[in-house]
Parts: sequence; structure tokens; C-alpha cells
Amino acid sequence: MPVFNLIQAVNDALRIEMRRDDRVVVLGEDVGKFGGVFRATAGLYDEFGPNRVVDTPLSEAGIIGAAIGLALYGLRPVPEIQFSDFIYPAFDQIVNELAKFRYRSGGEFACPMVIRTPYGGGIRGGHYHSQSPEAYFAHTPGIKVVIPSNPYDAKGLLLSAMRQDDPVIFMEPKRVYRAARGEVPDGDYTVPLGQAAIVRPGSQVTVLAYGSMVHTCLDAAKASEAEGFDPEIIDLRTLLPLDVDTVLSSVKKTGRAVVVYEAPKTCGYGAELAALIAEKAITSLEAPIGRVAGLDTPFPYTLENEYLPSAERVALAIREAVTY
Amino acid sequence: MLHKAPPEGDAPFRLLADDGAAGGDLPSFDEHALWHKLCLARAVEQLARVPGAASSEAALAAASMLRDGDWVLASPSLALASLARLSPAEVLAQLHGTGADHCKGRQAPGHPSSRAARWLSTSAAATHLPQAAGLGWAARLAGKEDVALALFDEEATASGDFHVGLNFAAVYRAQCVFFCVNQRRAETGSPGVAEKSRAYGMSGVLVDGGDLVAVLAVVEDALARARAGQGPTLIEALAADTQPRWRAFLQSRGMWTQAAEDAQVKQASDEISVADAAAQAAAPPDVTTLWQDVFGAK
Repeated sequence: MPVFNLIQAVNDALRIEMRRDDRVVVLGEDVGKFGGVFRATAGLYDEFGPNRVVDTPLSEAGIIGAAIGLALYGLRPVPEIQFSDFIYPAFDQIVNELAKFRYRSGGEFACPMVIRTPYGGGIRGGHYHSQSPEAYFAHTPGIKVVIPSNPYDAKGLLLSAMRQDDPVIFMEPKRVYRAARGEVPDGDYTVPLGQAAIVRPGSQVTVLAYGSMVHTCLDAAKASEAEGFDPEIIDLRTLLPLDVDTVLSSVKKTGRAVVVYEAPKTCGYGAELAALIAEKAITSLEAPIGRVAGLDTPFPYTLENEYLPSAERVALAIREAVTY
Repeated sequence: MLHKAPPEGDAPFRLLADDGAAGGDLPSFDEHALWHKLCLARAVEQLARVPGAASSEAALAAASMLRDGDWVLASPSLALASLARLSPAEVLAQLHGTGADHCKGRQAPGHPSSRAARWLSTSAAATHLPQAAGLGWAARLAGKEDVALALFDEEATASGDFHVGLNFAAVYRAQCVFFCVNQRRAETGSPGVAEKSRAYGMSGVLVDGGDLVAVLAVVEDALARARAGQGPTLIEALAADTQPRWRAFLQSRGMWTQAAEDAQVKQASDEISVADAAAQAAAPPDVTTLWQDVFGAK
């Protein structure tokens, strides 16, 4: 079985689906001849040509707005927003238009589309190349939010996303684009949306994470293990729809919860997780729900490692929960 | 057949003189059908107190030139143009948002939508322009002759989406017609809309919106260009009262008498009354519909 990094897994999924379904069109800034700034679309232009792998003008509102038109006509656009920090000019098209076409038309118009976008810090990109805007989209009914942490899931989740009929924001953790490597099966397989994965079974505390923070939490688990603690790490994989059952049954088993996300702490997606646990499993809790998150500041440049949740901060939260 | 070259200068294109005499090649259209639709729009305005019939008439005429496979995306200020492709029952049901509305009462009045009619509405000034570019681009990619017609007013030109939509349409030679009804209300330093077309590298036409036959002619040309892969067109229709020249035109064709107009108005009014009553009589959408259509089945 080949070993891929996360970028290669994304590229493989795109190629498989474009061969399988000629309605799939990839579009975005520099995705064509250049193959994307992170090389996610490398080689697709040569294989599928300029009508299916399209270099666009530098306008995110145009990329998504036009992709809505493509989808309404019956194509399956897979637009790339080069950095998720650039998604805000397209926010109106995504939140007010794409997310609501099905609902506002009484179910008559669907916009199947997968918006791929690299997100997150740790690459010394400053605030225009480091943000984690997932909560805005998870807060928008009509959009699914998918965030893989590893190559196997990236390929399987992307194939699933391209084969269903709703808009998906597919956020790729660019800090681990090349660092996350793993075996990826040849050919076709899918990982279903809405199913979390328990990546480290444990008994004492449930740690919820997604994307690059899964790796931070696994590092933290090693430190916690050395301290004699036994955390259970859950990779959510899909934020919306959320695998509520896996989250709650783990919390009910361990009696403790820590949520980890790198977006600013206030109103981040982890706040929703904490609220869900408080609402549905508070009688199982033996300690306050811990939140390890980015700071309530704009994303910094020089001090990004101080901003980002570290394995040390997660290990501390694990210790505080277990010893409460 | 081209009725007119893209405009140079400020004189809007006209086909009808004030007495209704046609001064050039006439487009091919069904006078009776259009007359009836125009009367329907006036009847909705009167009966349901929806404003905008007059300003929507040029847009309604434009939409009446389409084929079944074409698409329309419209601003709410031009909602009554939807009578070109939607039935009075559909338009009134959407207006009242009752259970008769196949969109389940999801949108405020003035947002008619229909898959069968390929008609989409937005609430914003110009968000539908990039979407129209995508539809017209998709049609070209598919090798079809379908065209996307975007209807909007001059307020749209203040929005970034106006620029984005026209730029994308030009880049991909999208099969689009951008139709702007200029009511001269926008806060703008620009002398006009049609002349912006040159900056995007597309055809542009300034037409007298009070001359419906001229509107039909320039739309016919723009549709032909789009279907032939010659790219999108920006049409600016200067809003004006359509009724005097429309009447004079019909009279010149031997179709207009006061009695004939009275009959048209009465027939339209009766149709709208029936549709209005049926829409209002329907129960509200069932509360269980609230949760439907957020996501699809698979």
C-alpha cells in the first residue's frame, strides 16, 4: 500500500473522482497549469484539460459565485480557496447563497459543491495565512464542515464529500500537509461523513479535536501517559454533521472532557462541543469541561507558537481534568 | 440579423417612433402573449399592491424572448418580470407564502423561484451576477445553447458582485445576457451602465426601456450572440413609460382598440384575482416543513 502525505491523498481523491464523474470541475487561483500553491491539483490540468481544471481570476466571491452557477446547471464544482483566510470575500456567496439555495427554493435547487481550503497556523504565515474559520460555517445551516487529520481520512472523506448533494467546506490542515504521512489504499474507498474516529482509546478523559490539533493531542497523550494518565483522543473528522453518539458515549465512559481547537477561544467550535456535553452528559461529569484553544487575539506572526495550543497545554488540561 | 451595433455615444436605441411606427427590422415575437403578460403584471401590482410593474416591463419583455432551457436570475425589484415564465398561481402563491407556495413560504414577497421555469430570485442587488456567469459558463462547457439572463437594476452597479460577475462572464465567454433596468436612482458618478461593458471586453447596448419592441430586438441579438459562443452582453434599458408606444405599436399593427385593451385588462385581472384568492385561501405551510430541505437526502 502506498504511503502518501495529506496533499498526495487529496490529489489522488480528486483524480479518482474526475476520472469517475465527468461533471467534476476543479477551479481556483493557480490550480490549473501551476497545480496549486500546495500542489494539491498537480497533474490534473494535464490529464483533464483547461475546461475541467480551471485557473480563475483572483476573486473568491467570483470563484464561489460562478461555482454556484456551475452546480445549478448540473456540474460538480470543487473550488479551491487558496488559504481559508481568503474565504471572507466569498462569505456572502457561501453563507447567504450557497447554503440556502435548497431551503429557499423549497428543495428545488441544490448546489452540490466541495470547497477545499487549507486552514490553520504553524507555517509562519501571519494572520492572512493562518486562521481557522470553521465555526462560521458550522454555524450556517445548509453547509457541511469536514476536517481530516491524516491522508487516509483526507482521501476517503473527500471522495464522500464529492459524492453527496450538499455544499461542503473541506478544510485541510496545512501545517501537516506534508508531515502527516500514512498508508493510503490504491483506488476507490470512502470514509463516511458524520463519523468520528477514536484515535487513542482511553479511560480517564475524553479529548476532542480535529485537523492538525489531533496530532497535538496525540503528542500530549504521550506526555500524559508518562504521568500515568489514560486519555481517550477522538478525531471528529466531520464537524457538521457531528458524530454526537461517539462524543457522548465517550464522555459518559470517562466522566471528563477536554476540547481542543486552534481558532480563538470565544465562540469557537469547541464552545459548541462544551455546550453539547453540558447539555447531554453533565450528570456524568466529574470535572469541569476543559477548553484548550487559540487566544482571543488576531492570529500573530512571530509569536504563533505561543498562540497555538501546544501539546504541553493539552497535557496540562488533561492533568487538571483527571486530578480535579 | 443584428438590429444594432454596440452603442457608441449616448443615444439609446429605439425602434418605435412616438406614433408607434417601426423604424427598422422587427424582432420576432408574439404580440398577444406579451400584451397579456404585461397586463398580468399590472394586475398583480393593483390587486396585491406589489410595486414595480412599470419598471419590470422591460425586464419582462427581455425574459419573454427566452427558450425553455434558458435560465433567469432576478433582483426583487424586478420580481413581476417572473410572469414571463411563471404562472399567476405560482407568483401569487410565493407572494403570500402560504402552503400553495411550492417553495414552502421560505422567502419574503418578491422572490419567485421555479425549477421548471429555471427562474431564481435573490434579495441582494448583484449576488446573482456571478451565479449567472457560472450558469452561462456551464452551458458553454456542456456545448448547449442555453443562456443565463440576469435581471437587475442600476443599484447593482455599486456592488462588487457586479464587477465580479461581468468579469467572470467575459473571461469564460459565458452564455449570458446582463440586463439592467436603469431607473436613474443610484448614487453614482458614472454617466451610464452600458458603457461599462467595454471595460470588461463584452458587447454593450443602451436601449430605450420605454420602447419594448427595441428591448426585444436588442435582447434577441444578445441571445443570438451568446448562443453562438460570441460572449456575454450588457444591456442597459433606460426606464421609461412603456404604455404610449406599446399602444401605438399595437394600433399600427391593427391590434389595438380601446375595447381590445379593456378585454385584455379584464382577462388579466380575472386571472390574477383567481390566483390571489387561491393563494390566500391555502393554509400556511405545515410546521414540519421548517426542518425540510436544509440538507438533501444523501
